[in-house]
Amino acid sequence: MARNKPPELLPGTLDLMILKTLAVGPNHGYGIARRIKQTSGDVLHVEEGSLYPALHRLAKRGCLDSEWRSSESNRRAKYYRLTRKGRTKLKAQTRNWSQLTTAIDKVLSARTAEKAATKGWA
Amino acid sequence: MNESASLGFGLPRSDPRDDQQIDAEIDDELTFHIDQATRELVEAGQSDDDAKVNALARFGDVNKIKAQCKRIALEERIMLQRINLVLMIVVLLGVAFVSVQMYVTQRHNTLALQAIVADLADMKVAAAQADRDGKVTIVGAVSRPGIYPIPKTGDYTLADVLVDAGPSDRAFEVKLFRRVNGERTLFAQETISMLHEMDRLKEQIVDGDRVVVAPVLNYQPAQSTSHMGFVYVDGSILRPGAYALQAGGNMTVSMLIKGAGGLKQSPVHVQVTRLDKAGNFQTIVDSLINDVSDLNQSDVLLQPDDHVIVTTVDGEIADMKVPAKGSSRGFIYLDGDVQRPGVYALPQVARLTLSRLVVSAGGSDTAAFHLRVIRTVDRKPDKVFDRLVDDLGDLAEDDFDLEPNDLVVVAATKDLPTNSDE
Repeated sequence: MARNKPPELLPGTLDLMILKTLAVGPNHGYGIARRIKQTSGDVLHVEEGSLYPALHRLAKRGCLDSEWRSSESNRRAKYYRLTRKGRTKLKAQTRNWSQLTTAIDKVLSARTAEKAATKGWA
Repeated sequence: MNESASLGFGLPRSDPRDDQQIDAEIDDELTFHIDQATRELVEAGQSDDDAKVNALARFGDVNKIKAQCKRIALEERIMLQRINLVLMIVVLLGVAFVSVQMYVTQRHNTLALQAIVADLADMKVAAAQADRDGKVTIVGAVSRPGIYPIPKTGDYTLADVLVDAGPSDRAFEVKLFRRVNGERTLFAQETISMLHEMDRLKEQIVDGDRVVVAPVLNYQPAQSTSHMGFVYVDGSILRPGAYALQAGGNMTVSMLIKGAGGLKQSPVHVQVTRLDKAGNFQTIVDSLINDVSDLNQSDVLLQPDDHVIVTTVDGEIADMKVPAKGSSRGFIYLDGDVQRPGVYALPQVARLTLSRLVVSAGGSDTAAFHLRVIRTVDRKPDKVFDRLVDDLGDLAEDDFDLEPNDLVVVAATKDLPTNSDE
C-alpha cells in the first residue's frame, strides 16, 4: 500500500496536543488518540501506544486527574481531566508554540524574499 | 484519584498502589484501547482477525509501553529505594569510621596506660635503688639468682645474699668474687654441707661483688674428713633433717636445734635417743622446755646417729621427715607400756619387724597387751595392725616389716577400752 509517510511529531508537541484535546472535556486514551487524528485532518498519525506514557507522566506532574468510569460503550475506562495546573501549562505551551511557529515562519519567509531579491538583481 | 501528589521538602511521595494493582490498571487501560480500535476497524469492514492485527500495529509495542507506564508509576519508589541505599551506605561507612576511630583511640589509650605503668614501675625501682648502696650479683645453684641491692644501713653478709637468693638445701660451694684494683679476684670460698653452716659466711658484701654457687655433686659425708657423721632432728622445728657433725666440733642439742632454725613453738618436749653398744636405742634426754636455754644439763654433746625429736606438749609430732642421708632408712616411733618407748632407727639394709621392735624395746610391762601400728599412707593415718597380744610368740604368724614413720603403740590390758571396733 503506497502511502506518504506521515510527518513526525516535534518533541514536546504530544503533551501540548493531549492538554489541548482535554481542554474540551474529560476523555480516555483511545478518545484522545481518535480526536487528535480527526482534528489534524488525518495528517498526524501518532503511534497510539506512545500516548499512554505521556498521559501518565502528565498525571504524575499534576497536570491531569484520572478516574475510572463507564465509557459510551458501557465498558470501564480510565478518563483523564485537565487540572488547574494543566490549564496553566496549556496556556504557557500554546503561547510558546505560537511564538516558535511565528518565528520559524518569519525565518522561512525571509529566505524566500532573499531568493527573490537575488534573482531580481541578476 | 490523584496519583501525582508529592510530599513537602521536594521529596516525592511514592505511589500508594501495590505492584499488582498498578499492573492491572495499566493492562485494563491498554486493553480497552486495543479493543476499541479493533471494534472501529471491524465496523469499517475488516475481519475480526485483521482488525485485531491492525489495531495492535497502530498501537505499537504493547509490552514496551506497559513497562514505560509502570516505570513512571514507580519512579518515586525507585528513587526512594536509591536514596535508602545511599543513606544505608553512608550510615555503614559512618559506623565503620567511628569503629575504626574507637579502635585507634582504645589502642592509643592502652599503649599510653602501659607506658604509664612501665614508668611507675621504673620509678619504684629507682626509688628502691635510692635507698640502696650498690648491687651484688648471685648466680648458680640458688632458687632466685639475680642482682640484689645492698641495703645502705646495717650489715649485709655473704650469708644474707644467699638467704635472699634462696640457698640450696644440698651441699654447695660458694665463691665470692670481688673487683680489687680493677681485677676480679676470688675473695672468699666456702663449702657448705648443712644450712646452719652458713653462719660462717660472714664476709661483708660491697658493690659489684659477684657470688657463684655451685652444687657439690656426689657429696659423701662418710668419706669427708671434715665430718664425723650425722645427727637427725625431727618434729616441731623449722628445718628438720640430717645435720653433719663437724670433726672436732662440739655440737650440743641446743646448737643443733638453733642450727635447724629453732623451735616452732613452745613449750615442747625434747627427746634425744642414742643407739647403745648393744644396738638398742636409749633415751638420754627427755625434757619439757620453753626455750633451748632451758636444756641446762640436758644440753648434751651429740654423737653420730643421735636422734633429736621435738614434740609439742600434746604429743603431736609435727613435720616428721625421714633423713635424706645417714645410717638408717628412717625411724619408727614406739610409745606406751613398753620398757623403752622412743624412736627406733630402721636399719639401712636389715629388716625390722614388729615383734623384733617390741622385743628390742624390752617388751611390755604386762603379759597381755594391745598392740596397734599406725601407718600414714597418702597423708592419712591408717591402722595396719590392731589386736590383743597374749604372748609375743603369737605375733610370729602375723609379723611384718615396719616402714619409716610407723607409729607403734603398746597398751597394757588393764588400760584397754572395750574393743568395739574390732
